[in-house]
Amino acid sequence: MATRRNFLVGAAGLCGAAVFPVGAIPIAHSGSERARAVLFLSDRSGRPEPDIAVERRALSLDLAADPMNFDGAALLQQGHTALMAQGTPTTLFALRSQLGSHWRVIVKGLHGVDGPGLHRLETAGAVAPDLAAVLEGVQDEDAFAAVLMRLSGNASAMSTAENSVQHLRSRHWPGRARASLLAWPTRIL
Amino acid sequence: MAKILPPNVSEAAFRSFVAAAQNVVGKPYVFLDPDWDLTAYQDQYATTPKEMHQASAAVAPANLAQVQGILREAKQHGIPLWTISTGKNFAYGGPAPRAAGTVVLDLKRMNRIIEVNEKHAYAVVEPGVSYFDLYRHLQKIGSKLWIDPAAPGWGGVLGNLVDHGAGYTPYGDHLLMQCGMEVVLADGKVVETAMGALPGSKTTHLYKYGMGPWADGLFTQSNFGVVTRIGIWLMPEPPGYKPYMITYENEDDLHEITERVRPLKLNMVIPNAATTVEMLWETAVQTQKRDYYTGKGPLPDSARKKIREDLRIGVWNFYAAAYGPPPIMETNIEVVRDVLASIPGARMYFADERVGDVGWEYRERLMRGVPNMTEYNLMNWIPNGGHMDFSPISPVTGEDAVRQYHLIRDRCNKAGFDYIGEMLVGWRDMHHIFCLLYDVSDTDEKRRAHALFDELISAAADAGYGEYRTHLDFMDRIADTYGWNGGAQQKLHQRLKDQLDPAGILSPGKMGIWPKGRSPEVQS
Repeated sequence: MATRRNFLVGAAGLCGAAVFPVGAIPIAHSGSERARAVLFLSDRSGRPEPDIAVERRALSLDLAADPMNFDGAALLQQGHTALMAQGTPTTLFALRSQLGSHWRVIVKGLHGVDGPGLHRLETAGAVAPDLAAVLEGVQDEDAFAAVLMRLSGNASAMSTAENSVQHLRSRHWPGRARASLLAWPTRIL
Repeated sequence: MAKILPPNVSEAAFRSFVAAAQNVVGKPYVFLDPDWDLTAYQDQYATTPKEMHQASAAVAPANLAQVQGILREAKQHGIPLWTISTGKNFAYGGPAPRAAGTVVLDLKRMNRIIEVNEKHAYAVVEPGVSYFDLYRHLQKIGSKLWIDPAAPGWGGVLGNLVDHGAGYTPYGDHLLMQCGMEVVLADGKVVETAMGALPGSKTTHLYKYGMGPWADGLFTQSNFGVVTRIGIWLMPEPPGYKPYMITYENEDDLHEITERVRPLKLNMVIPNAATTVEMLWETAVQTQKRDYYTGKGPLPDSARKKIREDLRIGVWNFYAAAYGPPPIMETNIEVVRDVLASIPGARMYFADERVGDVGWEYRERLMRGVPNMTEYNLMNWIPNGGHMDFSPISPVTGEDAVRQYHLIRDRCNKAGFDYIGEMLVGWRDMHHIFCLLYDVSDTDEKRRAHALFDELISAAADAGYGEYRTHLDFMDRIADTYGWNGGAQQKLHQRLKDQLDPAGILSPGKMGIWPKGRSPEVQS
């Protein structure tokens, strides 16, 4: 179906109009709640907490750069209500370029680039204290993915707030420097 | 990001244009919101404030008639347009316009592969067709034709060609392989160039030149028209393909490598892009700097030595391939071995000796026309990596190669950056590509990168070298270096611009060509 802006590409920056709903971290979705359909993309086999409906897909730079694989409008039409991705910074840049304006990046993370256990999280200022508290208890990137996936909200309902870059600390996560991304849909097709 | 207007355009005129554009392309394909829509048209690697290249709107026509309609409305309302195809030109400004307030004319909805001609080995495509798209289509129909992709496979076939891009197969000179072009002029007139001007022509995509002046080149790296369709020659799959790599131990070997490559290229013993790659390019596509060095500034020699050992690479690494029937390939490779692998310390490798080597594998695919994104991993070398490419052209001589290398490397290291570069020999020239990599979240680093780029332009021009392509921020600077005889060439471009686009609506500032009275110098 032809949809508005389903071909827009390149908005790799974090949208300035997204903030977390107060008290959103962490949200445990019980079985009685309507399951959210989270798309989890990773270039390694993580096992984030699956108490919500999680579809996992492999991610590589070549896959992420081709709209045949990741088209923002198509992902939304498939019913995904959140998108979480982990990979190299380049791979996530490419992925973000394909999502277009259907998706708002709520959290954009760089992990380990400044040193072991150090994180740069670009997000709305209002949520930074909550996220900092969460990070202290997160032991690896799979656990971090689980935290992000349990956040819920809709970017279109967000107020406008200044983005900020938070330099946070956790335990030393194993592995190389990585990037992460959480995006929410902005509009109903 | 605040809303802005095109330069010298009133709010009322802009609104009137928007309404007209919505009538032409449909409301869903006119984009206005600076926070929600127009971020897609920013330069994500900008070293200057993004406001300098912020679009006021974007319009996405789906076909030729809609392009004509938008040009008509732009002319009537005095609205400048910046044409893009797939918008992936990230080293040179991405999809962003040169001048703030310009409306982006986004052609990516025009993505039809109109023809693949197996017999005569060509394709005809619209601006929105990427290398991935064309490759996938050829695979799907069982074609025996190869494409020649740029290193990042998400680039556009047409967009790369009109920006004078290059690839790695024997068809790597993309503009040379272009044949047949459909252009919309600023007044909406459609022109078929060369043989295509003959009604019922049977050779539109077979002979480039037609009769009279060859006009196609005027519409590349320019703002004289909107190219909406091209023919591109495709290489028939050869009966054999054998890529090779030769590593060199010493920095000083660059002189001898280049001297020896020249006759091999001139005599077509090496038919494709003969590429000499400095070790950090090889390294950055597969590792991160922090794996070897966590200090400030360029990588120290001790780390460079460790990298060479770990990755089995040289200070310089040469790539090319043999194509054709096996006896011919083997003969050519023997010549190459004798000439290039006889430099002391050199070692020649073939596919079975580089299994699992990321650097080898992506070049092996590029040289046989398989698009991929691996080279984009260069951006992972440092945190938040972004880049601009400084791309001077050099004669194919050892003396010039070494001079350019030192000219760039020394200034680059002094400014605190790693030299990440490669040199590609074409028919008679050498493209020297320096990937200036910086942290886009580091304001000081971006400032230094910008200053370095500016310094390199002057230093190269003083030494007799010009760049073949550049970032938005430096188009005027570099155009000024082509100033022989009082800037005669620029003045010619200006006269053409004034005649072909008197209203000045097409891509103001592209490659330093501005509508009359609207260049930054005039306005300041």
